[in-house]
Amino acid sequence: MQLSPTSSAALRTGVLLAASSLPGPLGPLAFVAPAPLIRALLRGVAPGRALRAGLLAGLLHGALAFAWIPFADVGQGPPPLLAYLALLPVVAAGSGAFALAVALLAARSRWAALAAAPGLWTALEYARSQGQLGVPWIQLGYGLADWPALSQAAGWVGLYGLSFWIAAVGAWIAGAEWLGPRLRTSLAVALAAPLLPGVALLADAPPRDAVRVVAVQPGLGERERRDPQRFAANLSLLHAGSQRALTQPAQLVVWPESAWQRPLGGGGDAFLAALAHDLATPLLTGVWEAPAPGRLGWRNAAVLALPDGRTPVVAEKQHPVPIYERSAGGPAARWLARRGLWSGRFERGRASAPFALSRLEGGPVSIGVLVCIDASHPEVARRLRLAGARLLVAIANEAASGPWSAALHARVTRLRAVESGVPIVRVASRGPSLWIDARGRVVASLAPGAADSAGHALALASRAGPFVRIGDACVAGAAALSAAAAWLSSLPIPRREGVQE
Amino acid sequence: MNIVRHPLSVLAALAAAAVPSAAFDGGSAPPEAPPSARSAAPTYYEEVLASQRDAGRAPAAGGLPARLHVVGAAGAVVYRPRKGGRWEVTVEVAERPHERVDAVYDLVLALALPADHRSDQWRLRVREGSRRASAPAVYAGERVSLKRNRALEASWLPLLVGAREGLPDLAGTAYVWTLWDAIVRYDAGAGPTLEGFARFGYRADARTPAPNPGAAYLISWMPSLGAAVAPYTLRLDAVAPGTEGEER
Repeated sequence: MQLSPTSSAALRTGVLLAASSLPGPLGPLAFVAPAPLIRALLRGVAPGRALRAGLLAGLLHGALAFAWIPFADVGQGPPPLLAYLALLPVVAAGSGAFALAVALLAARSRWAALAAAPGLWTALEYARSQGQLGVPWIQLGYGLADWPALSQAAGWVGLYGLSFWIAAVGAWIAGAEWLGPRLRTSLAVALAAPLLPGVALLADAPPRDAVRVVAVQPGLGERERRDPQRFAANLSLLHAGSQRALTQPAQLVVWPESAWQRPLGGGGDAFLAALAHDLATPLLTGVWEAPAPGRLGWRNAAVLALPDGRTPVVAEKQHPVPIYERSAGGPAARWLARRGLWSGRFERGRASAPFALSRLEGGPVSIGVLVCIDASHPEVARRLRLAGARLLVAIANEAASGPWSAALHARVTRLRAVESGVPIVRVASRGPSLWIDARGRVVASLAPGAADSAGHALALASRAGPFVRIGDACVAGAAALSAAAAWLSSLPIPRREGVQE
Repeated sequence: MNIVRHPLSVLAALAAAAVPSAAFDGGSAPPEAPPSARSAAPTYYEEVLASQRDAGRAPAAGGLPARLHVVGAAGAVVYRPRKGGRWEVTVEVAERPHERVDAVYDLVLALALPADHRSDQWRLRVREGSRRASAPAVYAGERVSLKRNRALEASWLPLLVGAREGLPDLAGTAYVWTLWDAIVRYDAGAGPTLEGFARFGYRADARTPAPNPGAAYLISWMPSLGAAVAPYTLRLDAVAPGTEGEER
């Protein structure tokens, strides 16, 4: 069977997109990933064929990038294979819509299609991440998260700005054969501009103010973690890890998401406070808030146990994982729940403000908390930064979903640090636990899968960068820019200098 | 072990040797046989856990118990006046069976101290051995050291003091309850028995008498069991200085 050039291009794009989404060093392949599909579309493809090509690229991208889902140990609920199969059309739909739009534009003007492609890609990626069933991963921009020298522009334009840049490079590669030499060079120079913020990595100022944070990574499998009979054994592991790492004093001890295995009622938990008192250090841990009067659902949260006996809730998960974690909210979800295909029981948490951590020296520090997948939503970190957070703590538990998803989540967290210009301590049940500086560099880490603990100091964030102030306005900007460029380029001007139609 | 000559204790009775009162503890009566000989008897927490396991209960919500499971125990608390308005209180827990439940405990000492006492000592370091030749008590790899926990005093004492199965009310005695605690993890390799003692020095009005009758309470709280389970508690009666050995 021989593939058509368009299908072949779609396959290449799908594979390259998937490769750039995998944990590992291949992230920058994102720069070339969209090019084969865009080039094929620019050559002129019927809308139906373009749609199918886009769907094919998206299916391949989603199928490979989310191949860890069928192997997740989710306990109750529908088989993860079903969730995986349900996810693929969401990813494919975005690519399909992109290919269709580019093909329709290319039918009028190749130049218009080329100009519109980056904005279209960015807008569709953004749209895909929204809503109850949104998919906030595998955006093009995350391909650069493990490459701080390439990702610093995120501090100006955020994740979607990076995606726009990467898609623009892809479009430039795709359209290179139709661009005249001068325009090709000019565009290349313009497209290199987002590399400039990376120069800042060469001239780091010495840290003036730092906080030492202990991370305890128990290394437990999900079934061990959830077993009520192992409550004491698991707690012993966490306590011992805390004590070991506190041989050098720290300002905060952090345990992962859901590490405290008993429900937290309205009155707090005296034992947690006793633990913090024993450690003589504030202790932040993931906890499940029990239903309370006026609200029926559970909440996945973080509690700060203080040596003075208080145990305030300092964060709640705002984006529980659909199906398996989030409680059935709408009619469709309730319909699925009645058929055993929706097992979640956690409601969405409230947005929380940073908490003030007292220190013996240097005054209080404002710290924000991201609970697990909230780290995949740029707005959550950004709002905490706007509210004054100078350090973020991201607690996570990927014991059920496996090391692949944990590596992806770690990558996502690194980009959050760059976007908001804030150091992040990521503490995960099975790792990798990371101390990430405000430039997205990993200062220290605990190996994935290991039961380990350590304390490291991170320089606190200083002034917030442009992304914190403007947020995802650049998504609208990117879309508008592309639309304007497409409109301008589709005007009936007989000949444009530098463009070889 | 001769506890007259070797005033040992535990604090580190950690989870301390929780044996049902009928099996071992009972008032201040001495045990009839060495603790090691009875170590096979089910402990208090072993029984509690077995019943909870039978009932298939998950970890309970956090909360402070409003009652204690108090048993008299071998050992003593002794208040000794020193010169210049200084006092020293010694808490001694005699050798007793080791708890056999793998858990994390909050070991809480309820110690009556004069309301106006002053001290620079912020922790009670538990030691093992005789007064003349002692060493720090090490349990689960850590030196056992109890720290004053004012937060716990504020939250727990209102529930316990004066309650029928709680702590005696010290109103009108010039004394108040203080709580000192340490989180301890079960150490299966600690041997069949445990013991220990600790001292606390303070200043108080020289006219302040020792509490009489009085006692200190060593509470082995296993918080994972929830507030409905009364923590196992050793009552260590106060005795006059120099008579602690004769008591037993």
